[in-house]
Amino acid sequence: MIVPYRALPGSVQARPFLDVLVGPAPFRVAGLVDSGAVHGLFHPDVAAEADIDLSGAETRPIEIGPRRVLAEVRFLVVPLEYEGVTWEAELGFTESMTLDWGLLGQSALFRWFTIEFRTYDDEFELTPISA
Amino acid sequence: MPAEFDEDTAEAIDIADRLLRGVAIVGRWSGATIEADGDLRAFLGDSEHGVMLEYTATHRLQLGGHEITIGEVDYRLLHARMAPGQAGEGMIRLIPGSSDRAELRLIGVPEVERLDGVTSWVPAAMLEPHVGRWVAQSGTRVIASGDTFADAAEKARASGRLATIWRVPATTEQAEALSAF
Repeated sequence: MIVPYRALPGSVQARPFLDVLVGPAPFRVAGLVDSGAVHGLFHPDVAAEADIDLSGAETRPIEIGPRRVLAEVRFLVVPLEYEGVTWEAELGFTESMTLDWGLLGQSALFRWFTIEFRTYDDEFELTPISA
Repeated sequence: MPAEFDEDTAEAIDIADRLLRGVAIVGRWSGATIEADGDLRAFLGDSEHGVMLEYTATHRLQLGGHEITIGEVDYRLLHARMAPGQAGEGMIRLIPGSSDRAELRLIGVPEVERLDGVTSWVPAAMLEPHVGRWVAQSGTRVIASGDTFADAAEKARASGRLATIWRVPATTEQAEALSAF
């Protein structure tokens, strides 16, 4: 699955975003594909709009960003889907994340796909890993 | 991939993408040119109301100087009539009659599997009217925008189309930001 990078107004460099279905949401949300991130992280409003109940989520603190902000993150295993490919991954929800887009790191995406970045063509390719 | 394309091209990509996904497209049409013989001309007649016309043709997508053959598409026009001032055999121009509703559906095996690398890409220039706002993006099109995530999500739900909800950055700093605050 070849996915074009997203060009954002004001930036000279397009970046790899993946638009995923999170849980039962009737809409997709954009996640920045980040090989340097451990987790998949989204703002809690994404969970609220997607009817994902965070009351039973496990809360763990993690440090976020260069200022090492200590954030309380509610982690939950949720189904994710992209173009008919589904997988279950642990996502963290924290208000320390911007609502503008989420983060798809190692545990949420990279352990499920082989991912090749081709920045020279402004695209990346996802290949699901066979079970 | 072209550096820029306009709204019409974006719509053409969107239609091709949806056809390849097996979606029956229902919309409006304003004109079509098809090859016609005497029987078709007699069928169409000179009715102002028009007739329901169904035909099959190869659907092609023009993109950046390239032509991508999508596959055979069943076109149903409700209602079509001949544009005034046409005579003789050959190609005829059709215009809507009492209804400009059209339905398109891909039939048979498509010529291409999908439009990888094209369909979720929206040029930055087309996002500029939405700078700083939340958008619902479906394929290559922004189908709704709002002041909040919830607003855009609600409009996407109401449209019945699956869309991605995200905020178009208002500044370079936002566009190049890290995800976390």
